[in-house]
Amino acid sequence: MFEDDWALLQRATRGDEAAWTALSAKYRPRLIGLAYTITRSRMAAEDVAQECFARLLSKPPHQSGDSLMPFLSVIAYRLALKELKRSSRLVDIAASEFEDISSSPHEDLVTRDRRVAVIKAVRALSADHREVIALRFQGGLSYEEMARLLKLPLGTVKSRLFNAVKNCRKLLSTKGMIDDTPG
Amino acid sequence: MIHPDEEKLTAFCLDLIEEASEREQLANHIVGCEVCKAALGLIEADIGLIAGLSMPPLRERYPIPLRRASIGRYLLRAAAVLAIVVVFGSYFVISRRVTPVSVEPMHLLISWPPDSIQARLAGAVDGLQIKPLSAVGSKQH
Repeated sequence: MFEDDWALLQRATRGDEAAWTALSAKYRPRLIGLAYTITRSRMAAEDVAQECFARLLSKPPHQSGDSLMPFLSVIAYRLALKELKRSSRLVDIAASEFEDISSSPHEDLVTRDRRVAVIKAVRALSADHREVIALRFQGGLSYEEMARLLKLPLGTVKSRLFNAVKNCRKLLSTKGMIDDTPG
Repeated sequence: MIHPDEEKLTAFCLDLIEEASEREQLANHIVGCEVCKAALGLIEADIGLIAGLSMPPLRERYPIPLRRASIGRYLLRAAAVLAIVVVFGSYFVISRRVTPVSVEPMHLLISWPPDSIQARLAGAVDGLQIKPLSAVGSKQH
């Protein structure tokens, strides 16, 4: 039986390493994905994920909902924005870092190519579009939560996400990565 | 029903169609239409890939010190302190060198006018005869 997030957090704050590992395994990839989508830097994304967990330990949230993800997503989003501002003044030494995405042994070449193409397409989107994609898909926030966090009307958030996905697919189709003619 | 376009299917996929009746109508159509089902499948696959974006944990292979960003901040602070020390140090060194130079004009002023002129001035003063103002005034009238 799976232990819920709050019980794991409680144990982790008491120094239980197994609970800590379980939380990390559950959320770390998604937090890295969220931060990476916004910052476009793997190093920055790694830092953001690590800082999220450090904050989770130092200031554990009050129990609300089933998952820790909304709480972690908000922290990751804010930290990622900071990293983005900071890194805009620096040269990205890891510009080609997305090229060496390690794939699972079961992942075939086509899927891997497609995944790399999607990452490239998302990287090519505007900051506003990457932001909503990160919050919605990696962060798992609802449209209402996103609107509150971004201080935008609900309709704007929805249309922004729609356009982000549309643009992403458009980029993929121009590179021949998606087939628009089903059937 | 006419086949919904790609935008409508994307909106459906993203749960962006607010009107319940429209959503239901669309869902019913997709269930019975192989073309739309396939189109929706492609959109869902792309969204699935976008949603699944995540980087492998690089830190496990290449350990990076915690809070890398703060090292930069420490370096920046150290550079700022060093700059302040250099600026103030230079100021004190320069000001110590300048002080004796500023005395020289004073010395020149004190020795002016030269001795020969001073002697001539003194002689002229000695030769002056000072008369009372009343005597000067009576001569003029």
